[in-house]
Amino acid sequence: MGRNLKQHHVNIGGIELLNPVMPASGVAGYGEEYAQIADINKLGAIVTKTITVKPKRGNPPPRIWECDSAIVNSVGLENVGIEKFLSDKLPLLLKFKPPAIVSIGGTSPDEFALLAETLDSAGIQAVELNLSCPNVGSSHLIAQDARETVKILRATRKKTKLPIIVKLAPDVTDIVPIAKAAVRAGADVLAIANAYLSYVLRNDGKPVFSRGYAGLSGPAIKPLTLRLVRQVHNALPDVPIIGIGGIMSVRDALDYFDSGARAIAIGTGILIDPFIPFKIIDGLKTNC
Amino acid sequence: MNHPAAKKDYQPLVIEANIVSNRPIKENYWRLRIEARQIARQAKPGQFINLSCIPFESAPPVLLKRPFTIAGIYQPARTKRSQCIFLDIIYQVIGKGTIELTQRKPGEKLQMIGPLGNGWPLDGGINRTHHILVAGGSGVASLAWLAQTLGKPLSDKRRVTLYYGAQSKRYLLSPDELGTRGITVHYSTDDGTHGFHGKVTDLLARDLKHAGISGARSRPRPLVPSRENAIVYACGPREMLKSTFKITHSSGIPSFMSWEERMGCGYGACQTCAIPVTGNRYARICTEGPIFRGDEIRWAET
Repeated sequence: MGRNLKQHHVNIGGIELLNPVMPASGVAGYGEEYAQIADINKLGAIVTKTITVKPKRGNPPPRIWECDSAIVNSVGLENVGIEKFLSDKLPLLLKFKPPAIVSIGGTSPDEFALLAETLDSAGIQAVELNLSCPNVGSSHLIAQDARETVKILRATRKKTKLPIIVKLAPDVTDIVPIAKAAVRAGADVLAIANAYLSYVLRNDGKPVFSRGYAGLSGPAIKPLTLRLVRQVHNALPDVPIIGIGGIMSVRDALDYFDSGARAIAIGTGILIDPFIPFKIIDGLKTNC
Repeated sequence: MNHPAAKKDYQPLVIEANIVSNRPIKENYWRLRIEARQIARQAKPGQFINLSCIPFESAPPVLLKRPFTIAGIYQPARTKRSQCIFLDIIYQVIGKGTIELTQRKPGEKLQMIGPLGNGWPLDGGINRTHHILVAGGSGVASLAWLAQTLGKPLSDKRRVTLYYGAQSKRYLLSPDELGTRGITVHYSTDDGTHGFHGKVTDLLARDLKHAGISGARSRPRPLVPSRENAIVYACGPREMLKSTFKITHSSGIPSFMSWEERMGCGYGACQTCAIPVTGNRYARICTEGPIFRGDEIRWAET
């Protein structure tokens, strides 16, 4: 793969991307919010925020904090729920040119299966299984456990023919066995990775967030996540990887491609400069 | 009372804006003037911009943009550049972002997104005669522009009164600095160095009580504020907003609050700037606010 990025269209695991650059789940909202200020038709794909079976109200404020070279967030998967997503959000999302990838989240194999089944013929290109949100439930993440990951993958795989992306957790002793298990159980693409669990305090010594621990992202995590991408790519050279973590520039994108990623997603970078994905898309055309 | 300004009639834009000037006003208050015609033309009081404090590098020392209320727009008169419309923010230097912002020089460019948010309900109190503005500290920046706008139609019977509190006299911005000449201002300072000695909300409570409407049944008199003729707009620290709501709600006067919280994108995508509102949900401050009706906020959770 490496730096041969001149072609615009990229097929990863059956997903036809217009180019290898997309927003990470969360920062583009349901698509329409990001579309207010940017021409999102130029993106490789549109990835929604995570949708759950029931609506979720999310965590109490504050939900975001800046520290050196990183930001910490604790949104808690606030979303309208699958029913309202299908009626109110999806029709608009499907009007845009890039393929729609819907991120889904849940607490059991049944919930993931239900969401995948509901979305199977909805006109989207792929589902992304968020098995690694650091801001809901207990501090234990699904993607920290290979067996739990497999159970959810198997249940989901049975209910949809859509390509399945699995978003892995960075906070693990060894990511490779979990990545392998996910692929064996039916994952087509691996998204590596999510925000890192962290802990930030206010000046008065109290934790910033009501849940205490929260997800850290931004430029600081790029070298950490690059390592995870490299490890998984070495172990599973044929499995397409979407690299996500601290991407701010063309150079950062190239680092991910050179470490084995076939596409990249930008999260925090979009909050810092909403045009970063487009700068990278243009840069990849001229630099490579 | 509805909030008519909540209907979205603006188009937020992302622009690289030229800095015209960036100067200290007094103490830790600065004024940044930016050339941002397309944003300034659409902007109205109570709206904000999400502004980068530093030009981009691959990893700038300040990452997120910072939301700043628009303190006003300014059109240089009779110059060749009369096409220009400048946009002002008044900021208090308190943290990493604002310290970095003081380093910006005229001619430099900063990325900004705006105008953002619903703005003050300019026609929400159209039938009301007593417009009471309650400002704490840097919150005055948002209300100064509102005061000017409300004060414009000189012919009508509208009375605009600004209650303005700060820690100490040296932190109070003057009507010249705020562009609020001609507006009645009641000052308060925590240390008693200027105006009323105490909280601005204690001053407000005293005056409302004096007008005979605090809690007790009011007898409508056109010259004093009452639940029938008054409307309150507040911007300042959280505790000040809470007290303002308590005082005005018990008097039956409708209130609007400009809410501040740590923010991410500014345009409704990231869901990080949350405020607990009625209906057991969180609203997005950036798009559903930053101005909220006092009685739609779930105060116990703030």
